[in-house]
Amino acid sequence: MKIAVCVKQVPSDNKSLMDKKSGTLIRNGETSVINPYDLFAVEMALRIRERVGGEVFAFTMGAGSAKKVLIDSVAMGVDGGYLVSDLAFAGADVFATAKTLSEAITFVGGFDLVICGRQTTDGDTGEVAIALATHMNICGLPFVNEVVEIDEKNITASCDFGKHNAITKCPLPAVISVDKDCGLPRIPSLRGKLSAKKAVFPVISLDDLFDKNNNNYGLSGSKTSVLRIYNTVFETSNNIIKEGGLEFLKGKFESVKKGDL
Amino acid sequence: MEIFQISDKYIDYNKDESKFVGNSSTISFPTSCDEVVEIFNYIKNSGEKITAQGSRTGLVGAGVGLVSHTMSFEKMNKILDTTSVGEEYIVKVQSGVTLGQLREHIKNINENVDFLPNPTEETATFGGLFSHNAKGMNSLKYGGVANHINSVKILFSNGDVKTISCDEKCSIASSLAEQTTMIELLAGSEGQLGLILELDVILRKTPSNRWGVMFFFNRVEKVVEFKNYVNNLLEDNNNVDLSVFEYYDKKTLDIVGEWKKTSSKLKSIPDYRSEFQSAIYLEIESELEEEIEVALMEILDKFEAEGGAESDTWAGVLPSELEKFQHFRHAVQEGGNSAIQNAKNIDSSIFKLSMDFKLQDSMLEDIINRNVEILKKSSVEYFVFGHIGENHLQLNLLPNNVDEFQHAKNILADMCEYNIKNGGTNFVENGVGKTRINCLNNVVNKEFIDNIKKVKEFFDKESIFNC
Amino acid sequence: MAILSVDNSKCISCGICEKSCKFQGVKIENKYPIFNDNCTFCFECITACPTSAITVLGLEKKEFDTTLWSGVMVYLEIKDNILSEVSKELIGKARELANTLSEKVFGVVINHNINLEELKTCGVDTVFVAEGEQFADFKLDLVGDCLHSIIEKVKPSIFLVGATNQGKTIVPYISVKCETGMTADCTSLEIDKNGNLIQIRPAFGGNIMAEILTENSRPQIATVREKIFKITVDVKTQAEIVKVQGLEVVSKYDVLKIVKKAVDSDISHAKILIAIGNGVKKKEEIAVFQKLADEIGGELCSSRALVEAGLMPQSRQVGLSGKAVSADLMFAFGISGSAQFLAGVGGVKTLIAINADPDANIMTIANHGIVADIFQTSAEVLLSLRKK
Repeated sequence: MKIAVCVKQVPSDNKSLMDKKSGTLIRNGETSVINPYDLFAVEMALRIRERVGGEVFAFTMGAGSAKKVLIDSVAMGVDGGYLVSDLAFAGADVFATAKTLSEAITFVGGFDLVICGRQTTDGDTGEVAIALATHMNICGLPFVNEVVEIDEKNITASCDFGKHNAITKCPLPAVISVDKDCGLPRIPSLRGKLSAKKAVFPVISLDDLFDKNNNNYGLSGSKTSVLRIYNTVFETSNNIIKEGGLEFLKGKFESVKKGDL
Repeated sequence: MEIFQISDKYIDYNKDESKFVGNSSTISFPTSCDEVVEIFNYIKNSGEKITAQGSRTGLVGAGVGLVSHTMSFEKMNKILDTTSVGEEYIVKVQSGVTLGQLREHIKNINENVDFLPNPTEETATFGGLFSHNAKGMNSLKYGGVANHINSVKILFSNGDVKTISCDEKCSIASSLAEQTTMIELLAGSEGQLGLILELDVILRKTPSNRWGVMFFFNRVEKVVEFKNYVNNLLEDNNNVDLSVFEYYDKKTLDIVGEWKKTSSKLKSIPDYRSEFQSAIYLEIESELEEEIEVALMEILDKFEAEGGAESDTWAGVLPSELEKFQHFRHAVQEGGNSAIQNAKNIDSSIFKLSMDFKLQDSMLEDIINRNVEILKKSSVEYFVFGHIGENHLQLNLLPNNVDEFQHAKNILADMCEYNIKNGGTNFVENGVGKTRINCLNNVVNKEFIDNIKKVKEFFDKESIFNC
Repeated sequence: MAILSVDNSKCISCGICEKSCKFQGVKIENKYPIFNDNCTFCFECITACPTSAITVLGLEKKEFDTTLWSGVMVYLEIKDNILSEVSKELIGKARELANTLSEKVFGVVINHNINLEELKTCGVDTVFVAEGEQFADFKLDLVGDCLHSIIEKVKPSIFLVGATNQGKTIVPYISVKCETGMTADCTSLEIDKNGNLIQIRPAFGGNIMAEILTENSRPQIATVREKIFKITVDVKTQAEIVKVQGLEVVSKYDVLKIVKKAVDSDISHAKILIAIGNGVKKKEEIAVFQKLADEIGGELCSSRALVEAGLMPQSRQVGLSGKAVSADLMFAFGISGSAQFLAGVGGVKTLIAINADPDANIMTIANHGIVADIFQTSAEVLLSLRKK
């Protein structure tokens, strides 16, 4: 089985990210890591490979520094990776990102399964996986918390729809997005970590793709645009309620009971 | 100057991590050296004793007041000054500053330096860390906290406030003191020789390359051979240093495995097979990337040649990756405490009994291979872990009830004796404090105790501090 | 391809662009701004530049006739045979947006065994209903293609979907099929002066708010989580029901089984928490707090002291050596707020502390602090909840 895993480089820890005084993102030292949700995707890919045999390749879209997440993936045991990188791809929204990944994965070709993490800690939309499946015109299984069965033809997975899991079967090739419930990601082995440093990753650029029209990618290919960005004003009212504390509390409990947070 | 009654409000301040319960009736929270002096004079004049206290993370009750006033340094938590000295930095801190606080501060100065010792309890104050000369896993290379203190400002029992720097020799005439510096004498004195007000902490350059690797063993007999191989390989290697070399026995792995289920901090540590019989964790450092990788390959080849599976290793390089291994080590302590909690709830006199041993090779091997009669016959559960690289292991006994508690005390005493007979020494890395004072007689010789008495008398004749 | 470019003749080297960038995507080097990989094309620098020296090149002006698209459509999700809460919330918001645009509100429901009576009074102008056994279990291609054909016919300008797992699955599918934009987890929706939908959402873990536009495609799709908007149903409006024929399509998906999930009592996942601390000393004293938790659908948790005293299980400990929690709301009774405890509550959105001690550390970080006896207070609150 040939499996593709989509991984992304993101800023490391959201809380310490913001410089309170300037209101900007602090980027220094080790502040770019592999998206924590993607570690679960890599782990799922490796477990499936252990189950049915095959090869796993990581794909990441980004600038040269994104190579690090490919190295991390190989250290965990992935067989190889591709850096999807071109100036034309920059500034992509979900639509354009999914388009780019679908073209890149199709270019390398031969994949039975594509695995994505549920969402990223920076963009947070959680929509790339199904958008990718739709661009590729293949099935997509969302919120997978268990792969029940898999063979060369089909995959059966448990999809979490909130209060219930839908055990769904569909033909391969397919895309699945996995959540944190499907098994703790492994820590790279020593051999894995040592050999990953030497791994070489082919770069996939616009010219490699079937659709070479650069207006379909990056900022030009995005369907949404950013109007404004501003810092969130955090409510830090640490007020001690002097009078009527009990009434306040009663009121709060009552609204919560009604379902109004 | 405010002195508070310890009523319900401050009841927690009469206890530390060891769960030893004190009986101080008053407590103060000075925020500056002047306030410390003011309160000290007041208490001294009233004839009462003083126990200095940090974050109460101590494991032996040293910071818990017994028939004394408790002076908490938790509000003396300002970082006063930062100076760069070549590639290093000196940070002046009040003694209530915690290790965690300092680490946050370091992020803002320079990412290439760090406070190199790594005691796992980041909420401990520097006053406390110094008083116990705390050591982390990497004491193999970096020693204890005292090795990284440039000077200490201390209030002595005669009311003098002195700043002692690290090269000041000791001025007491006693066979013990002649060989040491003042700082070496004061570090680890557990608050008995003076009140620590400020410290100049040295931040040194972090090694360019640092790897942390965990090796899981299916067969216990392979551990000692592996340990010897690693030691020999790196002993003569001038470019690569072994900075951490830890051992975890099967029960230790089980305890951490249990603890993992309820601690969010350990979420990032994957599950490991219950069949593993023991594990070794090592960290190696070098300025040369290639040298360190060559060394690691040789160690890995040896591990695999002796039957270790490639997938039974965990490796990390980045601080965030190494942090997982640090959390693992900390979990040994927390998990151990939790394991005894049930017994403690039934009978509060029960606590986890432990002892550190410096062992001769043969006894080290026997303990690891589970070949020690005393332990084989023990009906009490126990776990063993420690700095295998230096032949230091810590034995922890987990009695389930009062009867087992008595057995456990006997087992511990027997092991101490057995070790001494085999040419080893017994010591207490986390301090003696109040919980282990009774064991001291069994553990060290009379000369050592006499020397300590002389030192105490010199510094604190009236016995004001922390008795 | 688009790139940001500086007209050096206009640049006055003021450095405002560097200061305005939240991502350190532009730095002044040798007097002029240089853009790097961190740039997210948010264009804050373009707006901030006092001399308009920065422009974006290579961005093709797109032609799309938005006038053909009109109305605000809401995806109506059925949960346990009735309209889901979030759908109701979105109907109210849709009406507000539609009124600003002087347009209509539509609903679309694709399901099996649909309660048409409920739909008639749900507050929309027209409901498009596709009913059939084939829709009984959610299958992405069947629902998605049916939705696609309805959207192509009705041409709504805006399409709102609740950010449930089902909603988050249908939206990317339909967005790609319609070749239009989608924005997830919006916390606010407004109409700008051109009649476009401004979609406002948090990014980078909530540190930043972004305003997004979908200017050159339709519909403008946004997902919104539960309880962001309040339900404001206009019962006077009687909806017209329009039945839509399902497409003759065989699904590629096969739903083998639906498995109801067990109740999750893990405190790390709980949205509402009641935390008890040192103020609680005896086992009997815990009962009132458990009852409060049950009344509001929350979970009970505690600080380390109670776990060590054997009063609470380790699995319910919050703090450095316990669990990190991320509840929307936590009521902390008798908790002093040690560093140990606080280390576990960083993810809590609103913390209300009740403590007899006004100087307790927790009072300095809680959103609201109430100085009161925890037993008296909890008993009175429980009584008042039970009366209602």
